[in-house]
Amino acid sequence: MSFNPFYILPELILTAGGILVLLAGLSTRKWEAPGKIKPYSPEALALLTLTGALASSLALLWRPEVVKGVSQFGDMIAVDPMAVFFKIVVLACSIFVVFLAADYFQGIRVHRGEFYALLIFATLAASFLSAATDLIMIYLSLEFLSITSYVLVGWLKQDPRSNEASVKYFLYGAVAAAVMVYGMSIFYGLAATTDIAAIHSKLVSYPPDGSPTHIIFLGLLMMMVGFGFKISMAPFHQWAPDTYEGAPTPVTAFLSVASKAAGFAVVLRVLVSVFTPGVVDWTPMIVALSGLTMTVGNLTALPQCNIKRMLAYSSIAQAGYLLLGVAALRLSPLALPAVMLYLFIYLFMNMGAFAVVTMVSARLNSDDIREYSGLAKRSPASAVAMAIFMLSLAGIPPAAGFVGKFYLFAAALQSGDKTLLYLAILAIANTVISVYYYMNVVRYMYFAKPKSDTPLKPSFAMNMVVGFAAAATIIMLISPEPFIQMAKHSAALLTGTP
Amino acid sequence: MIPLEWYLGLSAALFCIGIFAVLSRRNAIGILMGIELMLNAANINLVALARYMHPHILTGQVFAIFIMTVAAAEAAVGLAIVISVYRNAEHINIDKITTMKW
Repeated sequence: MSFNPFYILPELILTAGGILVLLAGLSTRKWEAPGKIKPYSPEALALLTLTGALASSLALLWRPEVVKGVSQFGDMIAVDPMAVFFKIVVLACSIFVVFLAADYFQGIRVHRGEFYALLIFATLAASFLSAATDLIMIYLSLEFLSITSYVLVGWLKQDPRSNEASVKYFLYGAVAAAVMVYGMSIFYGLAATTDIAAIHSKLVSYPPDGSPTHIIFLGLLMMMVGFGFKISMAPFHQWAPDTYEGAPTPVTAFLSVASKAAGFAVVLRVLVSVFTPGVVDWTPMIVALSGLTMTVGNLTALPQCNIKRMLAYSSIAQAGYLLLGVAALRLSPLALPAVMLYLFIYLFMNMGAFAVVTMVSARLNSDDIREYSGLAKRSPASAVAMAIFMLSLAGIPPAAGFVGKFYLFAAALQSGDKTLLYLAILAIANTVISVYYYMNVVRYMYFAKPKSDTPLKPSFAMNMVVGFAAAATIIMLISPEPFIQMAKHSAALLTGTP
Repeated sequence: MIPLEWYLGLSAALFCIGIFAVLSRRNAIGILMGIELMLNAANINLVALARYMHPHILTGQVFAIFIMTVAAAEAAVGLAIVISVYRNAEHINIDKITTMKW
Protein backbone atom coordinates (compact mmCIF):
# COMPACT_ATOMS: atom_id res chain seq x y z
CA MET A 1 0.00 0.00 0.00
CA SER A 2 2.93 2.30 0.63
CA PHE A 3 3.31 5.15 -1.79
CA ASN A 4 6.61 5.37 -3.61
CA PRO A 5 7.03 8.16 -6.17
CA PHE A 6 9.65 6.11 -7.99
CA TYR A 7 6.98 3.68 -9.23
CA ILE A 8 4.97 6.43 -10.89
CA LEU A 9 7.97 8.49 -11.99
CA PRO A 10 7.08 8.21 -15.71
CA GLU A 11 3.62 9.62 -15.00
CA LEU A 12 5.02 12.37 -12.77
CA ILE A 13 7.49 13.39 -15.47
CA LEU A 14 4.70 13.45 -18.06
CA THR A 15 2.47 15.60 -15.85
CA ALA A 16 5.20 18.13 -15.08
CA GLY A 17 6.46 18.11 -18.66
CA GLY A 18 2.98 18.61 -20.08
CA ILE A 19 2.47 21.73 -17.97
CA LEU A 20 5.92 23.05 -18.91
CA VAL A 21 5.25 22.50 -22.61
CA LEU A 22 1.96 24.37 -22.24
CA LEU A 23 3.83 27.32 -20.70
CA ALA A 24 6.58 27.17 -23.31
CA GLY A 25 3.88 27.31 -25.96
CA LEU A 26 2.89 30.75 -24.75
CA SER A 27 6.22 32.14 -25.90
CA THR A 28 5.99 30.75 -29.43
CA ARG A 29 3.91 32.51 -32.00
CA LYS A 30 1.28 30.79 -34.06
CA TRP A 31 2.77 31.93 -37.37
CA GLU A 32 6.33 31.04 -36.43
CA ALA A 33 7.40 28.17 -38.66
CA PRO A 34 8.87 25.41 -36.49
CA GLY A 35 11.69 24.71 -38.93
CA LYS A 36 14.56 23.21 -36.95
CA ILE A 37 13.75 22.08 -33.45
CA LYS A 38 15.21 24.77 -31.17
CA PRO A 39 15.89 24.34 -27.47
CA TYR A 40 13.08 25.74 -25.28
CA SER A 41 10.64 25.26 -28.13
CA PRO A 42 7.58 23.13 -27.31
CA GLU A 43 8.92 20.37 -29.59
CA ALA A 44 12.23 20.12 -27.75
CA LEU A 45 10.57 20.17 -24.32
CA ALA A 46 8.06 17.55 -25.41
CA LEU A 47 10.86 15.30 -26.66
CA LEU A 48 12.78 15.79 -23.44
CA THR A 49 9.71 14.94 -21.34
CA LEU A 50 8.82 11.84 -23.31
CA THR A 51 12.40 10.59 -23.38
CA GLY A 52 12.69 11.14 -19.63
CA ALA A 53 9.49 9.20 -19.05
CA LEU A 54 10.72 6.42 -21.34
CA ALA A 55 14.04 6.21 -19.50
CA SER A 56 12.33 6.07 -16.11
CA SER A 57 9.96 3.36 -17.38
CA LEU A 58 12.95 1.31 -18.52
CA ALA A 59 14.61 1.89 -15.14
CA LEU A 60 11.54 0.34 -13.46
CA LEU A 61 12.31 -2.99 -15.10
CA TRP A 62 15.55 -3.28 -13.12
CA ARG A 63 13.79 -3.18 -9.77
CA PRO A 64 13.16 -6.69 -8.45
CA GLU A 65 9.90 -5.71 -6.69
CA VAL A 66 8.51 -4.31 -9.95
CA VAL A 67 9.23 -7.61 -11.67
CA LYS A 68 7.02 -9.28 -9.06
CA GLY A 69 4.46 -6.51 -9.42
CA VAL A 70 3.45 -3.81 -6.97
CA SER A 71 0.33 -1.70 -6.83
CA GLN A 72 -0.04 1.97 -6.08
CA PHE A 73 -2.81 4.31 -4.92
CA GLY A 74 -4.66 1.61 -3.01
CA ASP A 75 -4.65 -0.99 -5.81
CA MET A 76 -5.73 1.56 -8.42
CA ILE A 77 -2.78 0.95 -10.71
CA ALA A 78 -0.35 -1.92 -11.04
CA VAL A 79 3.35 -1.42 -11.60
CA ASP A 80 4.30 -4.73 -13.15
CA PRO A 81 6.31 -5.77 -16.23
CA MET A 82 3.20 -5.83 -18.41
CA ALA A 83 2.19 -2.28 -17.50
CA VAL A 84 5.77 -1.12 -18.02
CA PHE A 85 5.93 -2.89 -21.38
CA PHE A 86 2.80 -1.09 -22.63
CA LYS A 87 4.10 2.20 -21.21
CA ILE A 88 7.26 1.76 -23.26
CA VAL A 89 5.22 1.13 -26.43
CA VAL A 90 3.03 4.18 -25.79
CA LEU A 91 5.95 6.48 -24.96
CA ALA A 92 8.01 5.33 -27.94
CA CYS A 93 4.98 5.97 -30.15
CA SER A 94 4.60 9.50 -28.77
CA ILE A 95 8.27 10.26 -29.40
CA PHE A 96 7.73 9.29 -33.03
CA VAL A 97 4.61 11.46 -33.11
CA VAL A 98 6.53 14.54 -31.93
CA PHE A 99 8.95 14.18 -34.85
CA LEU A 100 6.07 13.64 -37.26
CA ALA A 101 4.19 16.66 -35.92
CA ALA A 102 7.26 18.91 -36.16
CA ASP A 103 7.40 18.05 -39.86
CA TYR A 104 3.64 18.14 -40.43
CA PHE A 105 2.94 21.54 -38.87
CA GLN A 106 5.46 23.38 -41.03
CA GLY A 107 3.51 26.11 -42.74
CA ILE A 108 0.30 25.42 -40.81
CA ARG A 109 -0.75 28.06 -38.32
CA VAL A 110 -1.61 26.22 -35.14
CA HIS A 111 -0.85 26.62 -31.46
CA ARG A 112 2.04 24.21 -31.19
CA GLY A 113 2.52 24.44 -27.44
CA GLU A 114 -1.02 23.34 -26.73
CA PHE A 115 -0.77 20.55 -29.29
CA TYR A 116 2.31 18.99 -27.69
CA ALA A 117 0.91 19.51 -24.21
CA LEU A 118 -2.26 17.64 -25.17
CA LEU A 119 -0.17 14.94 -26.83
CA ILE A 120 1.78 14.48 -23.60
CA PHE A 121 -1.44 14.35 -21.57
CA ALA A 122 -2.87 11.79 -23.96
CA THR A 123 0.31 9.76 -23.46
CA LEU A 124 -0.14 10.10 -19.70
CA ALA A 125 -3.70 8.81 -20.02
CA ALA A 126 -2.57 5.88 -22.14
CA SER A 127 0.12 4.92 -19.65
CA PHE A 128 -2.37 5.03 -16.79
CA LEU A 129 -4.79 2.97 -18.86
CA SER A 130 -2.17 0.29 -19.43
CA ALA A 131 -1.63 0.03 -15.67
CA ALA A 132 -5.20 0.43 -14.39
CA THR A 133 -6.50 -2.37 -12.16
CA ASP A 134 -9.67 -0.77 -10.91
CA LEU A 135 -12.89 -0.09 -12.80
CA ILE A 136 -12.90 3.57 -11.71
CA MET A 137 -9.31 3.98 -12.86
CA ILE A 138 -10.02 2.18 -16.15
CA TYR A 139 -13.01 4.45 -16.79
CA LEU A 140 -11.16 7.62 -15.83
CA SER A 141 -8.03 6.96 -17.85
CA LEU A 142 -10.01 5.72 -20.85
CA GLU A 143 -12.09 8.90 -20.85
CA PHE A 144 -8.99 11.01 -20.25
CA LEU A 145 -7.39 9.42 -23.31
CA SER A 146 -10.59 9.83 -25.34
CA ILE A 147 -11.21 13.47 -24.46
CA THR A 148 -7.64 14.53 -25.25
CA SER A 149 -7.80 12.53 -28.49
CA TYR A 150 -11.06 14.24 -29.57
CA VAL A 151 -9.34 17.61 -29.31
CA LEU A 152 -6.19 16.42 -31.08
CA VAL A 153 -8.23 14.94 -33.94
CA GLY A 154 -10.05 18.25 -34.47
CA TRP A 155 -6.87 20.29 -34.21
CA LEU A 156 -7.12 21.84 -37.70
CA LYS A 157 -10.12 24.00 -36.82
CA GLN A 158 -10.39 25.56 -40.28
CA ASP A 159 -10.43 22.19 -42.05
CA PRO A 160 -13.98 20.77 -42.38
CA ARG A 161 -12.56 17.25 -42.64
CA SER A 162 -10.75 17.58 -39.32
CA ASN A 163 -14.01 18.86 -37.78
CA GLU A 164 -15.95 15.98 -39.18
CA ALA A 165 -13.36 13.46 -37.99
CA SER A 166 -13.51 14.96 -34.54
CA VAL A 167 -17.31 15.02 -34.25
CA LYS A 168 -17.60 11.42 -35.44
CA TYR A 169 -14.88 10.26 -33.07
CA PHE A 170 -16.52 12.14 -30.22
CA LEU A 171 -20.02 10.76 -30.77
CA TYR A 172 -18.83 7.17 -31.17
CA GLY A 173 -16.47 7.47 -28.23
CA ALA A 174 -18.98 8.99 -25.87
CA VAL A 175 -21.63 6.37 -26.66
CA ALA A 176 -19.11 3.53 -26.31
CA ALA A 177 -17.93 4.88 -22.96
CA ALA A 178 -21.51 5.26 -21.72
CA VAL A 179 -22.28 1.63 -22.60
CA MET A 180 -19.03 0.52 -20.97
CA VAL A 181 -19.75 2.36 -17.74
CA TYR A 182 -23.23 0.79 -17.57
CA GLY A 183 -21.50 -2.59 -17.84
CA MET A 184 -19.17 -1.57 -15.03
CA SER A 185 -22.14 -0.66 -12.84
CA ILE A 186 -23.39 -4.23 -13.30
CA PHE A 187 -20.10 -5.60 -11.98
CA TYR A 188 -20.24 -3.21 -9.07
CA GLY A 189 -23.64 -4.60 -8.23
CA LEU A 190 -22.38 -8.17 -8.42
CA ALA A 191 -19.19 -7.69 -6.43
CA ALA A 192 -19.59 -4.55 -4.27
CA THR A 193 -16.13 -3.44 -5.31
CA THR A 194 -14.42 -1.87 -8.30
CA ASP A 195 -11.06 -3.57 -7.85
CA ILE A 196 -10.68 -6.12 -10.62
CA ALA A 197 -8.84 -8.69 -8.48
CA ALA A 198 -11.58 -8.46 -5.83
CA ILE A 199 -14.29 -8.71 -8.50
CA HIS A 200 -12.63 -11.89 -9.70
CA SER A 201 -12.55 -13.47 -6.26
CA LYS A 202 -16.21 -12.54 -5.74
CA LEU A 203 -17.28 -13.93 -9.12
CA VAL A 204 -15.54 -17.28 -8.58
CA SER A 205 -17.11 -17.57 -5.13
CA TYR A 206 -20.59 -18.09 -6.63
CA PRO A 207 -21.65 -21.77 -6.61
CA PRO A 208 -21.45 -23.22 -10.15
CA ASP A 209 -25.22 -23.72 -10.48
CA GLY A 210 -26.16 -20.39 -8.89
CA SER A 211 -23.71 -18.22 -10.77
CA PRO A 212 -25.42 -15.32 -12.58
CA THR A 213 -23.65 -16.24 -15.84
CA HIS A 214 -26.02 -14.31 -18.09
CA ILE A 215 -25.64 -11.09 -16.14
CA ILE A 216 -21.86 -11.49 -16.07
CA PHE A 217 -21.80 -12.08 -19.79
CA LEU A 218 -24.02 -9.03 -20.43
CA GLY A 219 -21.71 -6.88 -18.32
CA LEU A 220 -18.66 -8.22 -20.13
CA LEU A 221 -20.24 -7.51 -23.51
CA MET A 222 -21.04 -3.94 -22.48
CA MET A 223 -17.51 -3.37 -21.25
CA MET A 224 -16.14 -4.81 -24.50
CA VAL A 225 -18.04 -2.08 -26.37
CA GLY A 226 -15.88 0.57 -24.69
CA PHE A 227 -12.65 -1.40 -25.06
CA GLY A 228 -13.54 -2.45 -28.62
CA PHE A 229 -13.98 1.18 -29.55
CA LYS A 230 -10.45 1.93 -28.37
CA ILE A 231 -8.85 -0.97 -30.26
CA SER A 232 -11.10 -0.33 -33.33
CA MET A 233 -12.63 -3.78 -33.20
CA ALA A 234 -15.53 -4.56 -35.54
CA PRO A 235 -18.47 -3.83 -35.15
CA PHE A 236 -17.28 -0.73 -33.25
CA HIS A 237 -14.78 0.32 -35.90
CA GLN A 238 -16.87 2.65 -38.08
CA TRP A 239 -15.29 5.77 -36.61
CA ALA A 240 -11.79 4.68 -37.57
CA PRO A 241 -11.67 5.33 -41.34
CA ASP A 242 -13.23 8.81 -41.15
CA THR A 243 -11.27 9.83 -38.08
CA TYR A 244 -7.99 8.53 -39.45
CA GLU A 245 -8.54 10.30 -42.74
CA GLY A 246 -9.59 13.66 -41.34
CA ALA A 247 -7.24 13.92 -38.38
CA PRO A 248 -3.80 15.52 -38.73
CA THR A 249 -1.50 12.65 -39.79
CA PRO A 250 0.63 12.61 -36.59
CA VAL A 251 -2.56 12.27 -34.55
CA THR A 252 -3.69 9.42 -36.80
CA ALA A 253 -0.38 7.71 -36.07
CA PHE A 254 -0.93 8.21 -32.34
CA LEU A 255 -4.45 6.76 -32.48
CA SER A 256 -3.38 3.77 -34.53
CA VAL A 257 -0.58 2.73 -32.17
CA ALA A 258 -0.63 4.30 -28.69
CA SER A 259 -4.38 4.39 -28.24
CA LYS A 260 -4.74 0.86 -29.61
CA ALA A 261 -1.89 -0.51 -27.48
CA ALA A 262 -3.40 0.96 -24.31
CA GLY A 263 -6.77 -0.50 -25.31
CA PHE A 264 -5.20 -3.93 -25.74
CA ALA A 265 -3.47 -3.60 -22.37
CA VAL A 266 -6.80 -3.11 -20.62
CA VAL A 267 -8.52 -5.88 -22.63
CA LEU A 268 -5.74 -8.32 -21.72
CA ARG A 269 -5.76 -7.33 -18.07
CA VAL A 270 -9.53 -7.52 -17.66
CA LEU A 271 -9.99 -10.75 -19.61
CA VAL A 272 -7.09 -12.56 -17.97
CA SER A 273 -7.51 -11.46 -14.38
CA VAL A 274 -11.31 -11.20 -14.01
CA PHE A 275 -12.89 -13.70 -16.36
CA THR A 276 -11.03 -16.89 -15.52
CA PRO A 277 -12.44 -20.26 -16.67
CA GLY A 278 -14.75 -20.63 -13.66
CA VAL A 279 -16.52 -17.32 -14.33
CA VAL A 280 -17.54 -17.11 -17.96
CA ASP A 281 -16.12 -18.50 -21.21
CA TRP A 282 -15.32 -15.59 -23.51
CA THR A 283 -13.19 -17.49 -26.03
CA PRO A 284 -16.02 -18.02 -28.60
CA MET A 285 -16.99 -14.35 -28.37
CA ILE A 286 -13.44 -13.14 -29.04
CA VAL A 287 -13.01 -15.71 -31.82
CA ALA A 288 -16.10 -14.35 -33.59
CA LEU A 289 -15.07 -10.72 -33.08
CA SER A 290 -11.54 -11.43 -34.27
CA GLY A 291 -12.73 -13.14 -37.46
CA LEU A 292 -15.19 -10.32 -38.14
CA THR A 293 -12.65 -7.58 -37.45
CA MET A 294 -9.91 -8.93 -39.71
CA THR A 295 -12.29 -9.77 -42.56
CA VAL A 296 -14.13 -6.43 -42.47
CA GLY A 297 -10.85 -4.52 -42.21
CA ASN A 298 -9.17 -6.32 -45.10
CA LEU A 299 -12.11 -6.39 -47.50
CA THR A 300 -12.88 -2.70 -47.10
CA ALA A 301 -9.20 -1.77 -47.38
CA LEU A 302 -9.06 -3.21 -50.90
CA PRO A 303 -10.76 -0.41 -52.89
CA GLN A 304 -9.31 2.56 -50.93
CA CYS A 305 -7.36 5.22 -52.77
CA ASN A 306 -6.58 7.49 -49.82
CA ILE A 307 -3.52 6.13 -48.04
CA LYS A 308 -4.62 7.23 -44.56
CA ARG A 309 -7.98 5.55 -45.09
CA MET A 310 -6.25 2.43 -46.36
CA LEU A 311 -4.01 2.42 -43.28
CA ALA A 312 -7.11 2.89 -41.12
CA TYR A 313 -8.70 -0.27 -42.51
CA SER A 314 -5.34 -1.99 -42.29
CA SER A 315 -5.12 -1.08 -38.61
CA ILE A 316 -8.60 -2.55 -38.08
CA ALA A 317 -7.35 -5.74 -39.73
CA GLN A 318 -4.23 -5.71 -37.55
CA ALA A 319 -6.50 -5.43 -34.49
CA GLY A 320 -8.22 -8.57 -35.79
CA TYR A 321 -4.91 -10.47 -35.91
CA LEU A 322 -4.09 -9.28 -32.40
CA LEU A 323 -7.52 -10.46 -31.21
CA LEU A 324 -6.62 -13.89 -32.60
CA GLY A 325 -3.86 -13.94 -29.98
CA VAL A 326 -6.30 -12.70 -27.32
CA ALA A 327 -8.71 -15.50 -28.24
CA ALA A 328 -5.96 -18.07 -27.66
CA LEU A 329 -5.03 -16.60 -24.24
CA ARG A 330 -6.74 -19.28 -22.23
CA LEU A 331 -5.51 -22.28 -24.13
CA SER A 332 -1.97 -21.38 -25.09
CA PRO A 333 0.84 -20.00 -22.93
CA LEU A 334 2.37 -18.59 -26.11
CA ALA A 335 -0.57 -16.25 -26.77
CA LEU A 336 0.17 -13.36 -24.43
CA PRO A 337 3.86 -13.00 -25.43
CA ALA A 338 2.77 -13.28 -29.07
CA VAL A 339 0.28 -10.41 -28.70
CA MET A 340 2.84 -8.23 -26.96
CA LEU A 341 5.57 -9.03 -29.49
CA TYR A 342 3.20 -8.23 -32.34
CA LEU A 343 2.25 -4.90 -30.76
CA PHE A 344 5.94 -4.06 -30.39
CA ILE A 345 6.63 -4.84 -34.05
CA TYR A 346 3.42 -3.06 -35.06
CA LEU A 347 4.68 0.06 -33.27
CA PHE A 348 7.70 0.34 -35.56
CA MET A 349 6.14 -0.72 -38.84
CA ASN A 350 3.04 1.42 -38.48
CA MET A 351 4.86 4.50 -37.16
CA GLY A 352 7.35 4.12 -40.00
CA ALA A 353 4.55 3.96 -42.57
CA PHE A 354 2.88 7.02 -41.05
CA ALA A 355 6.21 8.86 -41.02
CA VAL A 356 6.51 8.37 -44.79
CA VAL A 357 2.85 9.38 -45.24
CA THR A 358 3.45 12.54 -43.18
CA MET A 359 6.56 13.36 -45.19
CA VAL A 360 4.75 12.95 -48.51
CA SER A 361 1.55 14.73 -47.51
CA ALA A 362 3.47 17.68 -46.03
CA ARG A 363 5.23 18.11 -49.39
CA LEU A 364 2.55 17.21 -51.92
CA ASN A 365 -0.46 18.25 -49.85
CA SER A 366 -2.33 15.07 -50.72
CA ASP A 367 -2.95 11.64 -49.25
CA ASP A 368 -3.93 10.03 -52.52
CA ILE A 369 -2.14 6.72 -53.18
CA ARG A 370 -1.68 7.80 -56.82
CA GLU A 371 0.55 10.62 -55.58
CA TYR A 372 3.03 7.93 -54.56
CA SER A 373 3.73 7.06 -58.16
CA GLY A 374 7.39 7.41 -58.89
CA LEU A 375 8.35 7.88 -55.26
CA ALA A 376 11.19 5.47 -55.94
CA LYS A 377 12.74 8.14 -58.15
CA ARG A 378 11.63 11.21 -56.22
CA SER A 379 12.81 10.01 -52.82
CA PRO A 380 14.50 6.59 -53.13
CA ALA A 381 15.25 6.13 -49.42
CA SER A 382 11.64 6.79 -48.36
CA ALA A 383 10.38 4.44 -51.05
CA VAL A 384 12.63 1.60 -49.86
CA ALA A 385 11.56 2.21 -46.26
CA MET A 386 7.87 2.36 -47.22
CA ALA A 387 8.25 -0.91 -49.11
CA ILE A 388 9.73 -2.50 -45.98
CA PHE A 389 6.84 -1.24 -43.83
CA MET A 390 4.25 -2.45 -46.33
CA LEU A 391 5.89 -5.89 -46.51
CA SER A 392 6.01 -5.98 -42.75
CA LEU A 393 2.34 -5.02 -42.36
CA ALA A 394 1.44 -7.69 -44.89
CA GLY A 395 3.54 -10.21 -42.98
CA ILE A 396 5.88 -11.18 -45.79
CA PRO A 397 9.27 -12.62 -44.73
CA PRO A 398 11.87 -9.90 -45.34
CA ALA A 399 10.36 -7.84 -42.50
CA ALA A 400 9.49 -8.32 -38.84
CA GLY A 401 5.73 -8.47 -39.35
CA PHE A 402 6.28 -12.04 -40.47
CA VAL A 403 7.76 -13.05 -37.11
CA GLY A 404 4.89 -11.39 -35.27
CA LYS A 405 2.21 -13.10 -37.35
CA PHE A 406 4.07 -16.40 -37.13
CA TYR A 407 3.93 -16.31 -33.34
CA LEU A 408 0.25 -15.29 -33.29
CA PHE A 409 -0.72 -18.14 -35.61
CA ALA A 410 1.54 -20.54 -33.70
CA ALA A 411 -0.27 -19.61 -30.48
CA ALA A 412 -3.64 -20.33 -32.11
CA LEU A 413 -2.42 -23.67 -33.47
CA GLN A 414 -0.70 -24.66 -30.22
CA SER A 415 -3.98 -24.34 -28.33
CA GLY A 416 -5.27 -27.38 -30.24
CA ASP A 417 -8.77 -25.91 -30.29
CA LYS A 418 -10.78 -26.49 -33.45
CA THR A 419 -12.45 -23.06 -33.69
CA LEU A 420 -9.08 -21.40 -33.16
CA LEU A 421 -7.64 -23.55 -35.94
CA TYR A 422 -10.39 -22.35 -38.30
CA LEU A 423 -9.76 -18.78 -37.15
CA ALA A 424 -6.05 -19.16 -37.92
CA ILE A 425 -6.92 -20.44 -41.41
CA LEU A 426 -9.20 -17.42 -41.87
CA ALA A 427 -6.37 -15.16 -40.69
CA ILE A 428 -3.99 -16.71 -43.25
CA ALA A 429 -6.57 -16.18 -46.00
CA ASN A 430 -6.92 -12.58 -44.83
CA THR A 431 -3.16 -12.12 -44.93
CA VAL A 432 -3.18 -13.21 -48.56
CA ILE A 433 -5.95 -10.69 -49.35
CA SER A 434 -4.06 -7.93 -47.56
CA VAL A 435 -1.00 -8.42 -49.75
CA TYR A 436 -2.98 -6.89 -52.61
CA TYR A 437 -3.57 -3.48 -51.08
CA TYR A 438 -0.18 -3.23 -49.37
CA MET A 439 1.64 -4.15 -52.56
CA ASN A 440 -0.53 -1.67 -54.45
CA VAL A 441 1.39 1.11 -52.72
CA VAL A 442 4.70 -0.51 -53.67
CA ARG A 443 3.46 -0.88 -57.25
CA TYR A 444 2.70 2.84 -57.46
CA MET A 445 6.04 3.77 -55.91
CA TYR A 446 8.14 1.63 -58.24
CA PHE A 447 6.22 1.01 -61.44
CA ALA A 448 3.79 3.87 -62.01
CA LYS A 449 4.71 6.89 -64.05
CA PRO A 450 5.21 9.96 -61.85
CA LYS A 451 3.36 13.22 -62.54
CA SER A 452 6.51 15.18 -61.88
CA ASP A 453 10.15 14.35 -61.35
CA THR A 454 10.99 16.97 -58.73
CA PRO A 455 12.69 15.14 -55.89
CA LEU A 456 11.02 15.29 -52.49
CA LYS A 457 13.47 16.30 -49.80
CA PRO A 458 12.63 14.81 -46.43
CA SER A 459 14.20 16.71 -43.55
CA PHE A 460 17.12 15.18 -41.70
CA ALA A 461 14.93 14.41 -38.67
CA MET A 462 12.34 12.62 -40.82
CA ASN A 463 15.06 10.60 -42.54
CA MET A 464 16.36 9.56 -39.13
CA VAL A 465 12.89 8.58 -37.90
CA VAL A 466 12.04 6.58 -41.01
CA GLY A 467 15.49 4.99 -41.03
CA PHE A 468 15.23 4.03 -37.39
CA ALA A 469 11.79 2.46 -37.82
CA ALA A 470 12.98 0.56 -40.91
CA ALA A 471 16.12 -0.64 -39.12
CA ALA A 472 14.05 -1.80 -36.13
CA THR A 473 11.68 -3.66 -38.46
CA ILE A 474 14.59 -5.48 -40.10
CA ILE A 475 16.48 -6.17 -36.85
CA MET A 476 13.45 -7.75 -35.25
CA LEU A 477 13.26 -10.17 -38.16
CA ILE A 478 16.94 -11.12 -38.06
CA SER A 479 17.20 -11.60 -34.31
CA PRO A 480 13.75 -11.63 -32.70
CA GLU A 481 15.02 -13.67 -29.71
CA PRO A 482 15.68 -10.79 -27.24
CA PHE A 483 12.28 -9.27 -28.05
CA ILE A 484 10.52 -12.60 -27.65
CA GLN A 485 12.29 -13.12 -24.32
CA MET A 486 11.25 -9.63 -23.21
CA ALA A 487 7.62 -10.27 -24.15
CA LYS A 488 7.63 -13.69 -22.45
CA HIS A 489 9.16 -12.19 -19.36
CA SER A 490 6.57 -9.41 -19.22
CA ALA A 491 3.74 -11.83 -19.80
CA ALA A 492 4.83 -14.39 -17.22
CA LEU A 493 3.55 -12.41 -14.29
CA LEU A 494 0.03 -11.86 -15.56
CA THR A 495 -0.54 -15.50 -16.50
CA GLY A 496 1.10 -16.59 -13.25
CA THR A 497 -1.62 -14.95 -11.18
CA PRO A 498 -4.81 -16.99 -10.80
CA MET B 1 -39.02 1.64 1.01
CA ILE B 2 -39.10 1.39 -2.75
CA PRO B 3 -37.62 -1.96 -3.78
CA LEU B 4 -34.27 -2.04 -5.56
CA GLU B 5 -35.79 -3.55 -8.70
CA TRP B 6 -37.66 -0.34 -9.39
CA TYR B 7 -34.46 1.62 -9.47
CA LEU B 8 -32.77 -0.92 -11.71
CA GLY B 9 -35.82 -0.88 -13.99
CA LEU B 10 -35.77 2.91 -14.10
CA SER B 11 -32.08 2.89 -14.95
CA ALA B 12 -32.55 0.26 -17.68
CA ALA B 13 -35.43 2.29 -19.15
CA LEU B 14 -33.37 5.46 -19.04
CA PHE B 15 -30.48 3.67 -20.75
CA CYS B 16 -32.78 2.48 -23.54
CA ILE B 17 -34.26 5.97 -23.98
CA GLY B 18 -30.71 7.30 -24.21
CA ILE B 19 -29.76 4.73 -26.86
CA PHE B 20 -32.94 5.53 -28.77
CA ALA B 21 -32.11 9.25 -28.69
CA VAL B 22 -28.56 8.56 -29.90
CA LEU B 23 -29.78 6.42 -32.77
CA SER B 24 -32.73 8.53 -33.87
CA ARG B 25 -31.55 12.11 -33.40
CA ARG B 26 -29.95 13.91 -36.33
CA ASN B 27 -28.85 16.94 -34.36
CA ALA B 28 -25.45 16.55 -32.70
CA ILE B 29 -26.71 18.26 -29.52
CA GLY B 30 -29.64 15.84 -29.39
CA ILE B 31 -27.21 12.92 -29.54
CA LEU B 32 -25.16 14.50 -26.77
CA MET B 33 -28.31 14.64 -24.63
CA GLY B 34 -28.94 10.97 -25.31
CA ILE B 35 -25.40 10.17 -24.17
CA GLU B 36 -26.00 12.09 -20.94
CA LEU B 37 -29.10 9.97 -20.31
CA MET B 38 -27.07 6.79 -20.76
CA LEU B 39 -24.43 8.00 -18.31
CA ASN B 40 -27.10 8.95 -15.79
CA ALA B 41 -28.62 5.48 -16.14
CA ALA B 42 -25.27 4.07 -15.01
CA ASN B 43 -25.22 6.59 -12.15
CA ILE B 44 -28.66 5.52 -10.90
CA ASN B 45 -27.52 1.90 -11.08
CA LEU B 46 -24.38 2.59 -9.08
CA VAL B 47 -26.04 4.69 -6.39
CA ALA B 48 -29.02 2.36 -5.97
CA LEU B 49 -26.82 -0.74 -5.80
CA ALA B 50 -24.51 0.95 -3.31
CA ARG B 51 -27.43 1.98 -1.11
CA TYR B 52 -29.35 -1.30 -1.15
CA MET B 53 -26.73 -4.00 -1.40
CA HIS B 54 -23.65 -2.53 0.24
CA PRO B 55 -24.73 0.44 2.38
CA HIS B 56 -21.37 0.64 4.19
CA ILE B 57 -19.22 0.77 1.07
CA LEU B 58 -19.16 4.14 -0.63
CA THR B 59 -17.34 3.09 -3.81
CA GLY B 60 -20.53 3.17 -5.84
CA GLN B 61 -21.35 6.74 -4.88
CA VAL B 62 -17.78 7.82 -5.51
CA PHE B 63 -17.87 6.16 -8.94
CA ALA B 64 -21.09 8.06 -9.71
CA ILE B 65 -19.44 11.37 -8.79
CA PHE B 66 -16.50 10.54 -11.06
CA ILE B 67 -18.89 9.76 -13.91
CA MET B 68 -20.69 13.08 -13.46
CA THR B 69 -17.41 14.99 -13.46
CA VAL B 70 -16.11 13.24 -16.55
CA ALA B 71 -19.48 13.71 -18.28
CA ALA B 72 -19.23 17.46 -17.66
CA ALA B 73 -15.72 17.57 -19.12
CA GLU B 74 -16.83 15.47 -22.06
CA ALA B 75 -19.84 17.70 -22.72
CA ALA B 76 -17.59 20.77 -22.69
CA VAL B 77 -15.23 19.28 -25.27
CA GLY B 78 -18.14 17.91 -27.28
CA LEU B 79 -19.88 21.27 -27.46
CA ALA B 80 -16.62 22.93 -28.50
CA ILE B 81 -16.26 20.39 -31.32
CA VAL B 82 -19.88 20.95 -32.37
CA ILE B 83 -19.27 24.72 -32.45
CA SER B 84 -16.22 24.32 -34.66
CA VAL B 85 -18.28 22.14 -37.01
CA TYR B 86 -21.01 24.78 -37.04
CA ARG B 87 -18.53 27.51 -37.95
CA ASN B 88 -17.49 25.68 -41.09
CA ALA B 89 -20.68 23.89 -42.09
CA GLU B 90 -23.30 26.28 -40.64
CA HIS B 91 -25.41 23.35 -39.46
CA ILE B 92 -24.98 20.48 -37.04
CA ASN B 93 -27.03 17.86 -38.80
CA ILE B 94 -24.82 14.81 -38.66
CA ASP B 95 -26.55 13.24 -41.65
CA LYS B 96 -25.15 16.02 -43.80
CA ILE B 97 -21.60 15.99 -42.41
CA THR B 98 -20.36 13.58 -45.04
CA THR B 99 -17.32 15.00 -46.79
CA MET B 100 -15.50 11.74 -46.22
CA LYS B 101 -16.88 8.56 -47.70
CA TRP B 102 -15.25 5.52 -49.06
